[in-house]
Amino acid sequence: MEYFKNREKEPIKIQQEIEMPWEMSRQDREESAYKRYRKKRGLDKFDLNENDLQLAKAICEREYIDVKLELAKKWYQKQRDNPIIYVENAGDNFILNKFNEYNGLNELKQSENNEEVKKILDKLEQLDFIIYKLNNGEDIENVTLMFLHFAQKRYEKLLDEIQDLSQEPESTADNFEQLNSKQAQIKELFVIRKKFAESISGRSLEAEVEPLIETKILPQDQFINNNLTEKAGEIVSLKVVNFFIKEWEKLNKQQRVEYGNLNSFVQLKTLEAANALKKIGVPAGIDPTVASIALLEQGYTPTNFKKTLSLWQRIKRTVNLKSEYKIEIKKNEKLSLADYNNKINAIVNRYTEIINQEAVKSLKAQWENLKQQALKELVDEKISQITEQAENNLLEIFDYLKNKEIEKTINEIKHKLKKNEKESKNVEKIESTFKEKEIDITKFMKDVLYRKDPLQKLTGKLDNDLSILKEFFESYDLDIDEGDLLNLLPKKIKESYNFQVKKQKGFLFWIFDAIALMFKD
Amino acid sequence: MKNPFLNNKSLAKFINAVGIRKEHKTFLLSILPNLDLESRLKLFNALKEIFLLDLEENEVLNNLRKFIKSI
Repeated sequence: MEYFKNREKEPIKIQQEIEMPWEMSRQDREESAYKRYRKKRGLDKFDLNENDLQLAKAICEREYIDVKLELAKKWYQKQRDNPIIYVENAGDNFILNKFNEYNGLNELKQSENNEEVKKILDKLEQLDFIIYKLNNGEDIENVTLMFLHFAQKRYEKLLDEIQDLSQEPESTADNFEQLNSKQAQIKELFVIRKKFAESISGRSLEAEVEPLIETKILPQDQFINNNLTEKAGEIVSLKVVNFFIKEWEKLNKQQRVEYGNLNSFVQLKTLEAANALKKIGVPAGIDPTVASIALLEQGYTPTNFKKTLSLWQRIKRTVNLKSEYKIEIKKNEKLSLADYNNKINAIVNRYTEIINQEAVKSLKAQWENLKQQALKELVDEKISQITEQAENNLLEIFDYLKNKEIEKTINEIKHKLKKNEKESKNVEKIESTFKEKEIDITKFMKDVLYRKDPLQKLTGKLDNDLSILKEFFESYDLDIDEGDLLNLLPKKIKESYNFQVKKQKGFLFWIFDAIALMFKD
Repeated sequence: MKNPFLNNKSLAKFINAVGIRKEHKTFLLSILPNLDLESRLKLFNALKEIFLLDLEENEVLNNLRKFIKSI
């Protein structure tokens, strides 16, 4: 019988009113070391909730079905010569049904010598164990680390499978579906791994990795500065396409063929507008392409811009006087060169401002996505570390608890020794004698916990068990007989026997309580 | 000392058998003969708890190792 498989859950209730020499903090007796550690360290606020456990269970169950099917297929192949069971090209459900109907699992367990099958059987057994514990909410503290390992392996396996699928030359509908399903599982596993890892470590992983974000990505300001020009260019290109697409849609098939495609059409139109503007002239420092796009968006058509001379200006020109052009940018909208330059400047500046604002907004969103991705990667690294260190984590817990326990006792003993010294109490030194019995207490405890012979013969009723207990005590050279047990034990202790004997630790404590009373100094 | 579980020999063997640090063992063994009954009981209870932790630690670790190997 494994020590914790049958761990009792109910707290011990014996002898609350009697001061027992062996008394310990009874409320702690039935709590696992892990739970006590968590309470002492305030980690219980990271405890997993019912939903987390249910999700973990569902993930394990999915794997269980896959593993069982793998075994069923191996078993099914062995049934080739059995026409009652075997059908060519049978589907998964059919195979699983036959496997269950003919108790194939049991057959494999009993007869299988193949190492590969034995390994799969082992895996199935472990999954069964973890599902059972998750389902019953038992020993969650112990299965938490197991699940984290399992989830990590599954996560890595899925990542490999996704990579393989993505690299396949032909993407079929089936591939696409598989890819989607695996990506959904990856997301789910990330969430649950994070919860379990946070629960184990008592750390908020996102908060922990937040300061490390700049090891993965540029600070937001720098990212925006570096990418602003390119992003603004992208936005302008998109706007131009959107602007000319209506014109493109109006073209017939023949015209479209002549232009080639939408992109070349847009390029040509943009170039036409920019060239037209260049002919008229653009203010210094203004890019004619940007200016023409800005003007187009504002409802102007640069290809229609004209330089005009009024009659009076033409006369001035004929007599070699300085004449002044007007620029017609719209019907009935003629501007002097200075006004034209001002107008172009104003339109381009406003346009650039709007584009930059859009670019900054878009880059902020892009940076936020990068940040989330980087956070996820950093958290993922932490989860993997916590999983890898699971064993150390356990050792630390036990070391902490044992150390606490012994240090507390040592301090109490030191205090008592000092007190005795202060009060000049002469405590007699107890020297070992030749006659002194040496009890191997750890062996004694294991014998009781694991019910070594003769304790395995216990019936659970004190009257029937007196002789067995006497035999056990005798094996340790302890002089306790049936009469002592009947006469020296208080009624309540005797009454509690039937209850405690069914429990593992409970029975051990009962035995120690009884011994203490037998050998009261 | 009537109770054979609390005498020097048994307690010394118990101290040596449980999983505590070496400096704690050395200290406890050095003061053991000077302890009165009350302190011996305290020590016994602590060692008993520690040994239960040793068993739990072994079992949890074995289960974890077995699981990781199989899964």
